[in-house]
Amino acid sequence: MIKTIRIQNFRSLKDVTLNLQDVNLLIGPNNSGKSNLLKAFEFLGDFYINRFYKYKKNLASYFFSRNVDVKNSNRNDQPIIFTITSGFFFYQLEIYGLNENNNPVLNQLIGITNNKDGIDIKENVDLNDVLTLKKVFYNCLLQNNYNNKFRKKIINYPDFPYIQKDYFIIHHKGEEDSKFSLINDGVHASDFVKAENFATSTDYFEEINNRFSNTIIYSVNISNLKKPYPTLEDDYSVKSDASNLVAFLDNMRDNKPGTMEAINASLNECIKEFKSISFEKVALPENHDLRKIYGDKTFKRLGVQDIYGQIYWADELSDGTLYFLALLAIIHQPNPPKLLMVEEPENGIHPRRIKELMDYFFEIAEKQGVQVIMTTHSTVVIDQFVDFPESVFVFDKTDQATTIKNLKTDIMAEDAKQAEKLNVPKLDLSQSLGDHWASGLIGGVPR
Amino acid sequence: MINITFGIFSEDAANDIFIKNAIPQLVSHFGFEQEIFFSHYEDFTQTQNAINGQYVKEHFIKHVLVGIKNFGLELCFVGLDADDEDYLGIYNNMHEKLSEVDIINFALIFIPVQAIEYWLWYLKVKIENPDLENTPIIDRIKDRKEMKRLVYNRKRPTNKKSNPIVVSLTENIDFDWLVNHSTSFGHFYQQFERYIRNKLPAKEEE
Repeated sequence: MIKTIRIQNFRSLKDVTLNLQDVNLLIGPNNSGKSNLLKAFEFLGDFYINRFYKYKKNLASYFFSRNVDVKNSNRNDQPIIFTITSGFFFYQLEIYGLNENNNPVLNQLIGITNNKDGIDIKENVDLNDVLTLKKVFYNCLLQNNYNNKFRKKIINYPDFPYIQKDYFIIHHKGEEDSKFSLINDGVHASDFVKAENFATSTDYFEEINNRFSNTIIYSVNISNLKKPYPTLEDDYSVKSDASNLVAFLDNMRDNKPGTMEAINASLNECIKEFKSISFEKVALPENHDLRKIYGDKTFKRLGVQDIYGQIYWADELSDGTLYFLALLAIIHQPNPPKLLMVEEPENGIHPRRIKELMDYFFEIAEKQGVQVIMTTHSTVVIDQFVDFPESVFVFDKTDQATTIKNLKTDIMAEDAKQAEKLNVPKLDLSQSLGDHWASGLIGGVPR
Repeated sequence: MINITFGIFSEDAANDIFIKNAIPQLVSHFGFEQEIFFSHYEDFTQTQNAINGQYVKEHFIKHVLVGIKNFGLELCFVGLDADDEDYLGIYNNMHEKLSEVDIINFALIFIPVQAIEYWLWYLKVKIENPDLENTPIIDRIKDRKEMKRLVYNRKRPTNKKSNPIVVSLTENIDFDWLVNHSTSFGHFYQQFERYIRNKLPAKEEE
């Protein structure tokens, strides 16, 4: 689980730190930076699976300061920085811009801490005091043309006085003839090999990969769900807009009956009149757009059978029901992303159903180790977090920069201090948390 | 000289504008012997907005406390429209809650009956008929929609439409006229005067 993330200079996130929980709720006015936080995770995920090319064209727009000359990265003193800790790993990625070959100029640092509670990365602390890094290495991923000025910067990196030369390696990915090179003369080839073996055999690389390599922001597009869809064999995951819902569910029915049973059971539990999900083959004319894209595949449409045996096909179902069905599929998919991000899960869903939905999110986090991050504008969703103030993050914007406060450790703790100082009662949020948010009591409201 | 920083917690923008404009005028109207300045803490009023009148009744204490703790307010005006004619009952109940947490001197409650538009409508009648000496009392005669139509010319105006109207109606308030026509305003008027008098240093015995 990601314990703490600090993000600097990414879009509106000039410098924010979040101590994340299993399930996390982001609240705040429109345009306060909630989606930017999700995009930051997506950016990291894309970076990790070599999809950085997606960002090259508009890289400048991802920096807080829009005046960054990404092609002249040596002059960029405000790089995008992600600093992440879990119980045992420490990871930092700095992105300065692009080099002359249009490859990213970046720093990566990965380390292990022996402090299971993680470390405080909120301020520029002397990490040497709070963290014992057992091993650190430098991995210059994708950076084919390494420049001297940049190298000097890394060696003299001021915030990391503990880095041992012996553990520095450079990994020039994609360069066959110089696959590895050493960062300075003090490191011998034998050391390097040792370091490489160490790096590839330890769990932390895998942990970071697991966390970020399948990062999806779910934002369901209802109109897609009403259309027939080709049944493709490899649809074992729900796409970010849930457009492949028909194929996914069809696959679950045929190949993962346990998952299908769980989805049907959840559907029936939440909408009593619905019993199970149904499918029907649909013949599409040759000139149909989907035929042009997918050719002679079998197309099916989605339906829901009620307890009387009546089937309602997708185009007859309400948007709310379809949306709910998509969320159930996302939650129950056999290999959910380790980091599950959902924008406004309340869309079109009756307030009475929201409790069950939130229960599912908490369950998937607890049972499958999935970390959930949600945004919401629903007071009903927020009410579900009344006993989990540590999971609520309140967003605001000041001078174009996003500020994020944790409800428990920032807002309530600060209030308690002031209350004691002024000898007045402290903030009581034991009821109506959603209404309190909407009325401005905890911040995160439009002005 | 006395300086008082205040904020407003109410259920709509018309209430906020009314108070913001009325307070400095009321200070002049009473003609206190000492200079008194009221500074409006805009950020508090902008961010603290009750979702409805019931919320004000149940939770206003929390917002007054946030005003004291986070914004350093010395006074918070708390407003809600009283659908119930028994505004004094509502007032007493709220006053008791203030007393329970010992912050009576930090809040003044205003409860227009049946809505702030009644106060505004009286002001509108006077502005349109400056020589008029009296007009029939309309408390509880009209419903809220109808009052909005009378004041703003539409049943459900946007703030963009209604706020300038509230501003213009409250630029030069005839307090004597309003006190004579609205007992709920009269109640607030007395409270405010009492609050200021309590702030003023006691006169020395001659």
